[in-house]
Amino acid sequence: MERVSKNFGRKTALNNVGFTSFPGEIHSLIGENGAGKTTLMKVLSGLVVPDRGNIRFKGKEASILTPSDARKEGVGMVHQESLLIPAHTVLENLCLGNRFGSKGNVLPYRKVRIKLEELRDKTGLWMKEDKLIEDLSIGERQKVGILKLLLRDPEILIFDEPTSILAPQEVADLMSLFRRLSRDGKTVIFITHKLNEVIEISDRITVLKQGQVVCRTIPEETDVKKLSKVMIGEEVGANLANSGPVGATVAKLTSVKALGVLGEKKLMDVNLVVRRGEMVGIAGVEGNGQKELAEILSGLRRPDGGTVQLPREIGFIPDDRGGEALIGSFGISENVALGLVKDARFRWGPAMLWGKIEHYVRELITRYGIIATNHQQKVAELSGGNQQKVVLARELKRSQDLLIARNPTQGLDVKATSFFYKQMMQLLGRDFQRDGTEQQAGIVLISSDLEEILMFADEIYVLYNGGLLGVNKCKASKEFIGRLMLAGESGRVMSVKGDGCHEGP
Amino acid sequence: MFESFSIVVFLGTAIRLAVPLVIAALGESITERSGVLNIGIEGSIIAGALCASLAALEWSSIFLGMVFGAIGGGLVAMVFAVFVLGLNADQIIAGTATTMAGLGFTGAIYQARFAATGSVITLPVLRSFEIPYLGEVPILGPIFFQQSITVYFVYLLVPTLWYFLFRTSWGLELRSVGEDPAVAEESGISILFVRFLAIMFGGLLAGLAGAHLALDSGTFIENMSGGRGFIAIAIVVLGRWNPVSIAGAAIFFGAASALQFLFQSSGSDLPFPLFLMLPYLLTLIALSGWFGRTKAPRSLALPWPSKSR
Repeated sequence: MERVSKNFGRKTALNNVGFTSFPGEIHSLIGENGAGKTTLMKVLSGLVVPDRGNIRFKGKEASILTPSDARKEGVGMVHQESLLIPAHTVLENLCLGNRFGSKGNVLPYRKVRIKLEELRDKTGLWMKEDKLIEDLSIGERQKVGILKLLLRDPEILIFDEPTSILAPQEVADLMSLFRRLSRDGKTVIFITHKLNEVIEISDRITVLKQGQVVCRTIPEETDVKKLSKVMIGEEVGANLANSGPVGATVAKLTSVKALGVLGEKKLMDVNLVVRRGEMVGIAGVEGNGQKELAEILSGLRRPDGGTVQLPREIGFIPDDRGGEALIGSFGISENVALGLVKDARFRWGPAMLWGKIEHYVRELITRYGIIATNHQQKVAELSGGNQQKVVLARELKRSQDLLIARNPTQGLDVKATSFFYKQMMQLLGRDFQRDGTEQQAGIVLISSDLEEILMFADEIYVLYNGGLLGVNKCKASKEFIGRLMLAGESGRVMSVKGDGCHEGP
Repeated sequence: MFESFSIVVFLGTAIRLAVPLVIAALGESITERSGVLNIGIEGSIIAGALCASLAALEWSSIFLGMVFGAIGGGLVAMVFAVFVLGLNADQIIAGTATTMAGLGFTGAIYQARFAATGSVITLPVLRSFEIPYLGEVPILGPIFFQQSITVYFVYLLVPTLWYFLFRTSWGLELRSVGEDPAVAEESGISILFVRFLAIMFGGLLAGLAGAHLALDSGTFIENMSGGRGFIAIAIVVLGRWNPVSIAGAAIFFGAASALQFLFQSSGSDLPFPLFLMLPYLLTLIALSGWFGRTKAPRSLALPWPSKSR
């Protein structure tokens, strides 16, 4: 790709970007939120038409204006937010846009099933093909997206932040899939924030910053520190206080149960206590009851059994920012204002004080480094990471008693992540610059990012199949918790004693 | 009160009355599967009825009446498509306008052409015929296989559409467009083209339903569509966008009308319009989601390209 440029409105997304990749290599594309990584790859896969620039494949100039043009050139992409139809089965989704060489218009289900089995034997990737997508967890949906791409047998495979929602073992599986693909002579383009992964797997690294390439390198010549410096322009990794005084109980769940739409058990006998000044980390693979637990903790949903005690001021960062947290066609101001409607400082009788809100939102935009043309820009026009920053900015303000966060740093760059962590520490009352009179809040961090939980949580639980298992923090290793998260998937019974950890809170 | 054979007559009538509803509802279900809610099919039905009458009168041919009826319905749907797809107009408003315009326009033509003469239009009438062997089966024969050609057409249409929707790649593409146009577009499908075809198919079938109305009764009257377009939309909901269940739902609505006629003619004191209410009640219950998990196409009645982007 040469000299590619793209503007959205007055905002420059890509500015004269050049990007070269070779067969058989794993090429990492990194950069902050809104740096233009996803946009660049959308240009390559035909979803975004560039204002300027050209694309060549094997030396030949190609015009890619639509996704089918890209497909003909052998380019395929696994998106951050999966492009699957929830109401359709896995099989139907795999068949959409792929005829598998059959000439007629009858769906080639049998052929696909055979191909799926071949793929399973080759890569170990497998999914029950008759399940509805809406019944799958996010991680499973991603597998379907990868399968869909692999069935097309493309030359260039683009993965847009695939690891942010996976458990450690699943990440390892994905990495070995990448290696296999590159051995077969495919090009793998890997968009990510996780610099460890980049160093570990890449053949080459390209860093984007504000729509421009700022660095091209190979892992042998760099390390995590250097990369993050190039990405952000400063070193991060502030020391965060790891423990502090713990106060009164702020939320309590006693043998809570939750049922699904069809009466299936989503949560069973969950007991949980959150105290002020304490962070409870809940690890687990998506789809094991996280959604239900988060909704009950944030007061959005009543349990189907058991008792719940909750405080008044609860902030909630849901998993699906586009669906639950933000209204895409509203501006940033309006979306933030949705969280302020009860705040007396921003109201005068029934009227909202828009001038005050605007001022406040501008401040948030600078503080959180949200990349937007102005405070009125529609949220749908922002990049994924910037949308997440808007959610954080709004919800952190509301979390005077309790904050429920689900995968809060998913899609956030290093700088925004560390800023968010600092904010959380402040909520817990561990910010030493303050006078200590402010109220401490409790935090429940529900995340599939195990490192995040190990780093910050005071109490660690694993949510598996609707049950909450307590883990002894001082003794639990990352591998042990990772295995607990996946216990059912491998079908093995866990041996708890071996690792020196005890079960139960 | 009823003789023993009248249950057969009753069910036969139910099917006959259900025919225009099934045809229109099947067409509408295809349109809705593409994410377009065409509440203008009432306009297509009445246009179909008028065009069928004019053609049948001109050439004394039932077949040509059917063909032109379908074309008439298709033309009206095309107007709707131009507004909804070409100009990205709101589907509900465009559909309402299409219905009103269809009713008004056909009325005006009818007035101009026939009202002056003061005579009633007399058209060639659809005749029932018996399917050999099948028609002789006791009870089932007279109910299902001693009917007019349109009924047999429906028997073929239902399984065909089911196969189309759930077993062909075209059907999958159509459903994907209705669920999530963004995903469908990424798969190389032209959203507007698919929606155009789906609207046209719905219009053609609605026109055919109108043609059946005119040719079954042997005359054309202003506003003879009598709200069947809206009933068809309710049937699509009750039938959960599935051709087979739609056929069942339509027969239920047909039976309700037949029951009404039965009570009217028997001089009973029962307030017979009550029976007409029953199917709607069931539709409301169906909407509540107690039956199965099938939901409306997720992008139903949403504009494309979406305006928020």
